[in-house]
Amino acid sequence: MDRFVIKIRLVTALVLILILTAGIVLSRQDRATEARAEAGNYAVSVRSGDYVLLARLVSGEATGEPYIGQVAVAAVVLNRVKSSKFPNTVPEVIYQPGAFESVSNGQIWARNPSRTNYKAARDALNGWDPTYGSLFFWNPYKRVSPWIWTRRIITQIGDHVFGK
Amino acid sequence: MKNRYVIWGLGILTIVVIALALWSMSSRAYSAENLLEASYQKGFYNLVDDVNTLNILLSKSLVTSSDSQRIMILTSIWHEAENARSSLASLPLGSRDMTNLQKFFAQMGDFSHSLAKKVSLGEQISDKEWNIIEQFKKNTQNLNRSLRELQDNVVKGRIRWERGSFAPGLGGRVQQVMADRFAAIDQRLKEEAPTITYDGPFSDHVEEITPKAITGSPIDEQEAIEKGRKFIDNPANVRYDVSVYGRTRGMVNAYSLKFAKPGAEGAEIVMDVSRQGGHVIWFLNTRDIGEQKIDIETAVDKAHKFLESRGYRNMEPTGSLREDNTVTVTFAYKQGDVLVYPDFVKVEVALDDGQVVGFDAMGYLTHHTTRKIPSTGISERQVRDGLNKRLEVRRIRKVIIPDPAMKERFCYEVDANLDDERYLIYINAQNGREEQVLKVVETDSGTMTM
Repeated sequence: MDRFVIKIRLVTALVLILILTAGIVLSRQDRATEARAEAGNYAVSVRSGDYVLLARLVSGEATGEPYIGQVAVAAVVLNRVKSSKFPNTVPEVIYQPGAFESVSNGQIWARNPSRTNYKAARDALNGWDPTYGSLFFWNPYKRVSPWIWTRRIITQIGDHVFGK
Repeated sequence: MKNRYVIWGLGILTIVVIALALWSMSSRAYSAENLLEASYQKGFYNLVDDVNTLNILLSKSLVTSSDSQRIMILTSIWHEAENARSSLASLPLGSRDMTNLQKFFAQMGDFSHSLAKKVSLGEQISDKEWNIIEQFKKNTQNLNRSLRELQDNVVKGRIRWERGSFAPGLGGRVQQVMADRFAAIDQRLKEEAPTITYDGPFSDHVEEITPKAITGSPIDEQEAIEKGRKFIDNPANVRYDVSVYGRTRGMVNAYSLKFAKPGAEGAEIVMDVSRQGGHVIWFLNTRDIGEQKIDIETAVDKAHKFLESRGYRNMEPTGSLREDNTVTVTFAYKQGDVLVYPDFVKVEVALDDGQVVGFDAMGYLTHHTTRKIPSTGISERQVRDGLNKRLEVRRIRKVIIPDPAMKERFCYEVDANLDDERYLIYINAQNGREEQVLKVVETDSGTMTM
């Protein structure tokens, strides 16, 4: 009889864990959509679309970098928009499949940009380019595609190398 | 014994729940993957179509003998090339170097646009320009052929973009074939496509610009630190620890400096100083900024005085933008009575105490030089008479504006109202052509032009 009770408890525990896991997964999804909706409202009322998107990318790619490192990431996006070698608009550049790691792994949607991220995006939109026309940036301490090293390196800011 | 059934029942339920979860996950992933594949395929078919259309249009442009027809065709090439750029950008090639294809379409479109403009002004297309069109046509033909071969394989279902890990029977063997083929096409184009110089933003000469005002002899780190110390706005006489933390190579060679408060951890001010001549290119003070205590006018005045004391003379404020508790003022150089817009400097002033917390002279250092300004071909009176009669003119002044091809235009700037809306109209001071119209948008934070 005792063994039997233990078995029942075990199975119940299993089912409970299953339900719990499902619950956690679902609630996380809810939270994600909430955050998105919030950002959406912000976008419509206060900021123009490109500006918010740029700040999001800065948050996804350069959180933890020094302030000019954040401006630099935004500047690379804008340099791409201006360049003949990349598409013509901010969304096309940012959403070019595989172009930015934070878009591929969803980091761009993981959190709302901070005040600093917004300021960095704005400084870049105002024309400040600490990268002197760089079109690429990469983290030399992480695994990157080998062809990236054929680029001409212009400068390093924080953990990112910037190049053309 | 009843209890035993309960155990079995719960056990089976658990298995069913797990199986259901797995099944729904994999079917979701499967349909998401197909959706993605469909969107990539759409991009690819569009690209093949765009290239085919470009091929036909380029041939037509060579054949036609009517100017109006030629303008239409050249403009269509421009549009179609832009479409091709969009289609290409939607393909999953981002992790590879696909810049030659993009550049090829960009230049073809841009070049055609510049030719269309030329023909519309009644000018002739030169033999050299015809040769470039011929070259574009040849490249496009090759491209068309390669893409068609690829399309053939795609139609027969031999190649897919996505890995197809959930697709039955396809497994991993087809992965990345498309991307590899594109990389090969891109490389070939790099070898075949011409280097071209013309009147447009994507011309090769624009991409290789060197700054005109960065002159002088090279300086060393110590000299750079001295220059930097003297340049910043430091009313409280903070004795910063200044050090070089990096170097920049490329269009400009520069030392990157950081200024830390004594005893403090991170840098408060960062700055780039050019190696040649020791020009301060930009600096930024990252201190926290308190509540606004001074008005915009005082701030503009502070910025003006700062510039004069740092050797930037004859600068005139042209606009300001307020953000949080700072205001960024743009200044342009004035040569005689002509305002030179390309030679601009931006100064950011903190509105709590009027300190200059940001400075960016890249525009000025790139373009500034003493210009030979020609005499005007038409008078202000003639400009006024030629304007749209419904405009109410506020001011007319002489300016130099940049054009997309990095050439400069000497113009009259007409500041005028149409009803409640404000516009800036640029009339070429030599031939009276209207070069550009900007709409002025005034917001609470400042003035913008679009």
